[in-house]
Amino acid sequence: MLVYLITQTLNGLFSAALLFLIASGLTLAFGVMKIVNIAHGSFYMLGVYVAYTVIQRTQSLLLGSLVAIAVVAAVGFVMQRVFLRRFAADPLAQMMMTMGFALLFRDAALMIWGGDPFTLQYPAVLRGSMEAGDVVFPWYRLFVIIVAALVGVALWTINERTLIGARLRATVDDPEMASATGINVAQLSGLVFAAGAGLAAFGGVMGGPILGGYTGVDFDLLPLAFVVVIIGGMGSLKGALVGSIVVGMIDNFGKALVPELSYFTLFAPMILVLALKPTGLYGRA
Amino acid sequence: MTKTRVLDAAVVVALVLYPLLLPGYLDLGTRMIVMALFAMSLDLLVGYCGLVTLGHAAFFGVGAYSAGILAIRASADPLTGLLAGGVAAAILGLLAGTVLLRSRRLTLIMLTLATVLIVQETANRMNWLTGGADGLQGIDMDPVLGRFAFDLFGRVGYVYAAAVLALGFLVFRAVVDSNFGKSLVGIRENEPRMRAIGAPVDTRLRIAFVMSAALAGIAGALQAQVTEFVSLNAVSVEFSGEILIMLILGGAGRRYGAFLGAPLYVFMQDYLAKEDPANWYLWIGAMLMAIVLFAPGGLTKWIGALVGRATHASPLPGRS
Repeated sequence: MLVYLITQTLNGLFSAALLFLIASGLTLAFGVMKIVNIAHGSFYMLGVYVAYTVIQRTQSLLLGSLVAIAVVAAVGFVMQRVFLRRFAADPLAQMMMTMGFALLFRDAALMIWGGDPFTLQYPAVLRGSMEAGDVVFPWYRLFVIIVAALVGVALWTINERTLIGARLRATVDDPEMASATGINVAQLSGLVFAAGAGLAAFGGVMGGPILGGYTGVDFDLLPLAFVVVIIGGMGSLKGALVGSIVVGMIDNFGKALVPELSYFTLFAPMILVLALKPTGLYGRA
Repeated sequence: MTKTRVLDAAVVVALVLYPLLLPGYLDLGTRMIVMALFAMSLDLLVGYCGLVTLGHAAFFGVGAYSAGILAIRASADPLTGLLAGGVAAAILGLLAGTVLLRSRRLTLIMLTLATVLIVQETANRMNWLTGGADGLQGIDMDPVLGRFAFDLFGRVGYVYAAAVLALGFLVFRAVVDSNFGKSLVGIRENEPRMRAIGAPVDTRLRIAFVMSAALAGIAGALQAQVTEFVSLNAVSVEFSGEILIMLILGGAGRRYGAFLGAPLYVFMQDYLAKEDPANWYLWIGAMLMAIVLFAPGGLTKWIGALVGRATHASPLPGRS
């Protein structure tokens, strides 16, 4: 029983790690731009697919990650600067625009990479499983948990300890006042959106060896990421972390214990949190 | 007022001409009509209240299942079925609205998404009643008003649907043109100010939500009756997204948006399914972006601007 509990907790943490990589960019983009980005799951999907191409040629997970992050961040940057920026005052137009992109990316990926599902290869060092007593857990999953934790620390440092982080927090709090103090909100928005896209792509690469790439992975993950952001509070990095762990755990234990209620176990905590605190755990009005 | 008359006449002419010009495509026409009615119900929320939802199919689906199940188990009278679909959806709307309307924007979108997923999952689990993934089969409707039996070519179905759409539109227009409708627009434009002048914002939004749900339920019931089938797709997120796209395509909050957006979308869907089925989402995505970029406000606004420019040349160039 204890072994089962530990294994499931570790699996939950693995889900939480992936969710954090996806949701942290989503929540920051929402905080800065107030945008409902339907295409965020597509960034994850593009990350897996780009990495797949690179890894097939070079057998390097590291190189695959770097190229995927760079390519998808560039896509996100262009998307924000050329298209989304025009509709800063119109949330519905922004949302429809991202929905258009999501549909476009979906079919583009189908055209370029075909519809066959695949999983990413990863270095031999990370294969096999860790054994501690009776607990057996794959090294790769542990690796992803550690990497996500490092990314979390890096994001926290940037957010709390650097000038860019201070500007970011100011803009999340009050974009107009931030702009009045001389912060270039437009430029910051592009940067944050690109960084968020890159993070989601990195999440895709990290999840690639386990979840793989397939048509529809974008819209499978999007609701989960949204739930994380809503539970944690929009614009809050801490919220994204706590939300990821909550959703990762509940999703994992829910599916293991009461598989017939998967949607209910996913949405119940969201509704509960909203009933108690409408802005989410760490969000502001 | 003359503009309204012209547009009304255009709608009636289109509804009458379609079966005369394309008698072999009545099923398609009926589908356009049902989607127009559904898009109109969504317009009340998106266009007039400014509440964006990705779960409106929950109400359409509940209306469709209610009418279908009623027809199989109790009464196959079409009008009773429409009423049942509308009432069932209104009840769900009342319950859901109480919870949903406390939030706005992303949270509201997510909660409506959760609603439709939960309703779909419930319909899937109750397969003894709904047919589950196989869909609800075995609907056999009685004649409309006891006289007009549904025929194989879909003639009665088309006329019946067109009549329901016309009636639905009259109700819809009466609502949005009333003071109540104007206060909804006020809430959309500036909710804090409406609260400040003492408007009962929450009550009004709740009433609008129930009305919209009821109209969506009637559209669902209509679809169940004319196609004699209900699938789980009628309560899906995808369908909720599609109906939103239809409305945006035609133009939200512009009264006639649903009449243009829904038929165009249904036509494109039908056409591309034959010509280029592999790239359907690519086309829809591109079209959506083109509308947002080049015709914000939808096709009705775009056409309205073209007509306005053509009919009266502005005495002051550069101003409109």
